[in-house]
Amino acid sequence: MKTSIFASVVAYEDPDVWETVTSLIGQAMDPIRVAIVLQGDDYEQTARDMRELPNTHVLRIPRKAARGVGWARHLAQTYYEGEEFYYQTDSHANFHDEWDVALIDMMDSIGKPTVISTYPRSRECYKPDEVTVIEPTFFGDAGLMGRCQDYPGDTFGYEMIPARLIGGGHLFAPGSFVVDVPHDPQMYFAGEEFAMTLRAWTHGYHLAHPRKTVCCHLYDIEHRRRQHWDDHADWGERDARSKERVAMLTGWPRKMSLHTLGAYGLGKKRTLRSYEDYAGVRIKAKEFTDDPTWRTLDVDAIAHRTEAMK
Amino acid sequence: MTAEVFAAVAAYNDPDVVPTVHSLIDNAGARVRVAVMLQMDDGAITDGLVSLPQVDLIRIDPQDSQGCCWARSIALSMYEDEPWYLQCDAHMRFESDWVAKLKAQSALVQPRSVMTTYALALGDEAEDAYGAMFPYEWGDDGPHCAGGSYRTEVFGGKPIPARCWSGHFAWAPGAYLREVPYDPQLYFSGEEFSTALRAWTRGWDLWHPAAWICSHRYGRVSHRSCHWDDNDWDFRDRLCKARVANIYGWPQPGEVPAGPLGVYGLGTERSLEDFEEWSGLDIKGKRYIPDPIWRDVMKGITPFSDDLFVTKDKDFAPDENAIMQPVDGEE
Repeated sequence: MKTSIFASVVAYEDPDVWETVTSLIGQAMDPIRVAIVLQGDDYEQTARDMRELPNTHVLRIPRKAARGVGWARHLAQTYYEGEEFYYQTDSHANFHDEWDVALIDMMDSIGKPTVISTYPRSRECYKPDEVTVIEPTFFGDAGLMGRCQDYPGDTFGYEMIPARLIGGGHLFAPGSFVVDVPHDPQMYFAGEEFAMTLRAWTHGYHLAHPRKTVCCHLYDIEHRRRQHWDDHADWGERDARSKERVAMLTGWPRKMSLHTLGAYGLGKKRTLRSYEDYAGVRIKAKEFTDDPTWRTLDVDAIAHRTEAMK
Repeated sequence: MTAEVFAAVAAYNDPDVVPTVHSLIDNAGARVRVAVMLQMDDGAITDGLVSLPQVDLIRIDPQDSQGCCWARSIALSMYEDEPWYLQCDAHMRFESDWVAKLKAQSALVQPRSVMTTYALALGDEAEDAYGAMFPYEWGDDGPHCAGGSYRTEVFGGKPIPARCWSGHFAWAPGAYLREVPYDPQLYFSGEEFSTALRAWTRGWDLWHPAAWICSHRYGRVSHRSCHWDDNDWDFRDRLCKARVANIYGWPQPGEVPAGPLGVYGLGTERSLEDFEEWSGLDIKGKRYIPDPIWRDVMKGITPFSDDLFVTKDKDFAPDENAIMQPVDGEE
């Protein structure tokens, strides 16, 4: 049957991916189609088991051939087949009942093509009556960085909670996002989210945070998760090329001579300047401004929010 | 990043990938990096490739494959900003110093150029001819091209303009890969002509090189299977045809929706109409247009006559009426 959500889950030597995928499928109200990219050497059995789950595609990449999270997300997107919605998560998440309906409702109430994303809270920190905003905090060499900031759920009185940054670990978008703003296979890790933010914005997508929490992040409490850079001595080179790509998007000084960004560059529907005005930043100068337009989307809500912050 | 050329090869249960990759590397005469996407049951056959320093290899179970174009898109995802890109099939052999020969051909034309052709058949190469592609009929996936060849004097040492693109032999500056990324949703039929259009409308010219670069094993050998032998491919095929129909401006062919095209659609540097006028292929009308620009260009290169075509195999014989004479299209 035709499913309306195509979901992407990518993992690197992460045992929690099984719980993530079964929760993702099990807690959805309607069938979804899921592409799972497993990078690692201990996934043979997991891959076999996952193939038995309904509507799954499993791509198992040996540890040696793994190229990091940006590439893995690019691979997962190759399984997209025109579904109405795209959902992307990390390999360590836990989903609330009927998460799919909640996200589709959010999209419907916004009523325009929007990337709805955030950094999900852990099970321990999760409060159902709060919303998590990614608050831009500083410019690093991989772009504008943000941190989580929780607000009471009623802080934002309007249908959309505007976002200035995209979070890659919990992202819901129209399916067209997969082909309009496909993952650049050469992005490594740092810079992926800021590059996505700028590309999504200039391709005409609106940016929002979810009004309702539909998943929790599983943080590695007992042991640190194995990462791509633990096993690959050449990760620094990949990281440098990612950061160079951010410089190509932002106009920052370049260190390498890379080819054009091509399909992985900015869109033509909006300018970078309009993002700067919206988010309250000056990218080239790496500065923040006082009068971002995202605040003016709903003046009453902002006043409410300012109260809440005190 | 030390390699000069990034080469991408996808193989489906095809042991010929091993001599192909060796031939590619051994005859390059330049530093190459080869991305190999293996969809193989038997990993032992290809163990030797894994240890080659020039090779980045992924092997997956054939049952996880979504088909030819999908596998090619994954091989191409391993590109790392090398100056040049080559894509080829897993059953080919390369001539010595093929990199230098291709670079020399590329140097004769504008930088935004793709060298592509149906390579001559392995074991049946002609000393005095180079491979070329000849549109000869209209299919439900676009114009179909036959492989054939022109005598070398047609080329005069220079590439000749091409109206088609070949999935088993394409060479371009690496930037091409970023501008015309491979659509993983395509299956097989329709891939080549839609890619030609996408490249051309993004400002890339297509050429057949005036050099013997490689040979291709057409047809099947006994121990090779294809994706469509082992998998349910009907949906992917229909999805592919719906997507290329969208690119051509044709009505949707069936129940499977094309979905959004995004970066996998046409470019905006040149239009589809520009291509029709240039190539003489009236895509919307599925017919040939008299006296296209392409024909004038070819006339300027050589005075045409029948004996300039070399065909070894009657099945691949180009219909010179389709090439030289304007005729009404047939379906």
